[in-house]
Amino acid sequence: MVVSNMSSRTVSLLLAGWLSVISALASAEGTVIHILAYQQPPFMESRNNKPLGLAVDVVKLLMERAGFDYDINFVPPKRAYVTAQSSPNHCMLAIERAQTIEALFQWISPILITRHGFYSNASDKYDIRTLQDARPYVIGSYLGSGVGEYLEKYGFNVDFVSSNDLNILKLQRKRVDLWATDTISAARLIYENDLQFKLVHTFLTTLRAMGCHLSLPQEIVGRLQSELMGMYQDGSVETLYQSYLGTHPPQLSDIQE
Amino acid sequence: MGRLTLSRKMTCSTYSYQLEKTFSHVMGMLLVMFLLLLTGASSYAQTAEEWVDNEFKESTFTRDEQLAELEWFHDAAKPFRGMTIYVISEPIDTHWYEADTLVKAFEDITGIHVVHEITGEDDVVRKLLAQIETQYNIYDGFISDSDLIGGHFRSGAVVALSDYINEEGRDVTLPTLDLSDFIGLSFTTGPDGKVYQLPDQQFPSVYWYRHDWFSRKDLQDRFRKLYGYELGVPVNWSAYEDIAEFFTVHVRELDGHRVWGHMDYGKTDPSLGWRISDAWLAMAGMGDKGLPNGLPVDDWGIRVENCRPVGASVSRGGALDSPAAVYAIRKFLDWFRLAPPEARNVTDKVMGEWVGSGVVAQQIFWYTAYLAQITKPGLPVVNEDGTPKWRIAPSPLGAYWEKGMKSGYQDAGSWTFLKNTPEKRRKAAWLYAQFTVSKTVSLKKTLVGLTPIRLSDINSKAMTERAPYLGGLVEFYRSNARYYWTPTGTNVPSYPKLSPLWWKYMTQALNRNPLVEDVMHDLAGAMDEELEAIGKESPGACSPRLNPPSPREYWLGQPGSPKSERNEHPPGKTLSYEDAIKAWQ
Repeated sequence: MVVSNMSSRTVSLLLAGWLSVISALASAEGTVIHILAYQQPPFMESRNNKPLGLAVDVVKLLMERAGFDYDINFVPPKRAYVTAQSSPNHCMLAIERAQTIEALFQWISPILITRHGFYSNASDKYDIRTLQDARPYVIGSYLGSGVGEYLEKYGFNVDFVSSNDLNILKLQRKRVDLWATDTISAARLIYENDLQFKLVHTFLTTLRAMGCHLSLPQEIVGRLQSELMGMYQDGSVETLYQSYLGTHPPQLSDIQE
Repeated sequence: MGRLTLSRKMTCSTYSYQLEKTFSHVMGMLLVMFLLLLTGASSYAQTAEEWVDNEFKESTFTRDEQLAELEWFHDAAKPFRGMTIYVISEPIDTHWYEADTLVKAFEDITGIHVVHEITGEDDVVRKLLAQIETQYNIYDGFISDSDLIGGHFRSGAVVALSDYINEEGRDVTLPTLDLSDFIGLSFTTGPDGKVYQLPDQQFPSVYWYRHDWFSRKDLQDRFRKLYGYELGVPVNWSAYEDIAEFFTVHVRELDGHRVWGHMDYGKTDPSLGWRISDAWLAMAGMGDKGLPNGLPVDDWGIRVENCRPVGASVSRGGALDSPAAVYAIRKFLDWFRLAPPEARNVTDKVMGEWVGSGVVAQQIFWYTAYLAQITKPGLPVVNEDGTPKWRIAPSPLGAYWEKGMKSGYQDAGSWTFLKNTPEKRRKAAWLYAQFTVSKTVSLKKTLVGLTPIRLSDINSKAMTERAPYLGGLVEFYRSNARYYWTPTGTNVPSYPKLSPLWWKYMTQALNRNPLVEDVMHDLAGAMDEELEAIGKESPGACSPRLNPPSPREYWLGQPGSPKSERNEHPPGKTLSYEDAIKAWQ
């Protein structure tokens, strides 16, 4: 998702977006916010055409509390990424906010706070105390993973697959030494599949956000951001984490320790 | 203790037997624990000695002083042993050293496991803000730039360390911390006199140039013939522009390679904002006199009255759309014509690679955080004996600059702790923070990352020996320059909220639509609006409250900043390297 070169069209779009934000604000009345999500259980998934998942639940509650009309559609991540930049009133869920793409969206953040770590087979005995200690090993990740890209950027040996769950087999069959993933997905997959994996080392925390088109009126962005902060402060987000992941959650309460 | 519980069904003899068995068991356990303690103590002492003898050989402390300091950490950490704490910092060599090496030493000494995350500086700021706003303890400590000090002292969310070390944190504050040894403490002190952050690393943005090219007689003669004065370290922007033109337009090729007289970066990205907000307008001379930052108008163009920001636009008494600010941005834009075509589409992250590649003659704005990258043997900018072909020198200054003003930017990444972190976790994190800057380890860390924070390290023999290989960095830090190159100051009430305005409006300026004057006018207006919003969100004695608008002429006619238009094309002036660095004394 790193944008390395910005076309003149993109720059024009950026300018148009900012100018419209800076100039007279459009009314929020009647605006329908189109949210584009992609399959990434347990955070976002479409089952029987119903949007489900932790990030989806956070956004649903957010929209209800803010009183905005919205819809959620599932599309491939690349399409969500492009459409949220090119089509007014569209937002992408849930995207890792980074310096390289900061200028491309307006942000409602954080929708998710997740820690990421290296997992190994329970019988493996790697001595990994820091991120650098993982450098000699082959690390499994999946295409589109911000954490996989982070590791690749710093020269780690990353083996990408098309979806995160495929890393389970690769780790079991020792085709990768370590699996880099967030602790929530890992806990879910380990529990559901009764896997003999262990967390070896935690190395990164990410904030994931909703990235919206630059022309989305500032009053909407501000309202959503303020409502989201209220959801954190009154414990609603914590409740969603707990209720969604039942009795096996390593989520925000783990972050709090 | 459950073994000593007497069952009702036990007979006396059974009880006696059980008690005897239990007694011998307890004694056995005590013996094992005693042996473990002995082994543990000896194991700890051995570990401490190994770290001192292998990793921390370079220190301003004697070996005994180092071991005594480590023993203090070992003892102070007892209540926190076994904990895992989370801290975060930006991706520069200094922090990689901490994350890769110092966390291991700290864990071996204290038993506290540290996850030291490395991420982009903008992400550090975003996470700091997220933790304040969500009230979730994502991190136990941050190494965050001191540029945020204006928000820290106003918000009430950040622990004032000068209070902490005398109160809650007294039992976990290192007796040998020696705060007076830190050179950047004035950057992290609020107007209330309290220290909010502890510097962990510092680096300035200075002038960088190819000393070997500037020393060539053929180039010196050619420059003199063309411009009428000596090729040397430029003192003002006129000379910088002449030298840039000389290499890009007239010299063009050296040793078979295309060379450039200027390099910069203009990609739409938060770093484009930092390029300007990191004291570029101060270098032009926009603000008022005063250190570490101009008062009442600073280098963001924000005027304060007492501690209250009252506006950034000239109409409110600020300077962000003043003639000096317009001049600064116009020069920044104009000089792209003298830089490689790629310059407009890159960020600051490649500035080490560019100057290291050997095609750049000079750069007016260059962070020494990249210095370690360009001292590597084999690079085209390094001599065979390891000495550099380049030098750093005082940055040339713009037409509005006056003596008594700050001369440039210095980054001071500093330990920052939030009040919403649970007390026990904060104490454990504070121990780690002090370890990373302790006299046992700080000289070694300085030699690795070249971002000094302690005067004792700067004046050490090790730094004297290293000086010839660092192109002027040691000379910079041994001079008063370290007080004239300063971070963003306390006039800025919320760095996270105001800083995005810089890169958004600079993108417009780079696209030359609209004119620079209009862009700066719009930027100043947007800054005023945001200041007003911050004041309404968080009212307080030092919160922003805008001055009523007045005609520009009123404020331009007052002494100091905002300054009225002046001659922006003084004659070019240069100095020899030796004379230029005397300006730092």
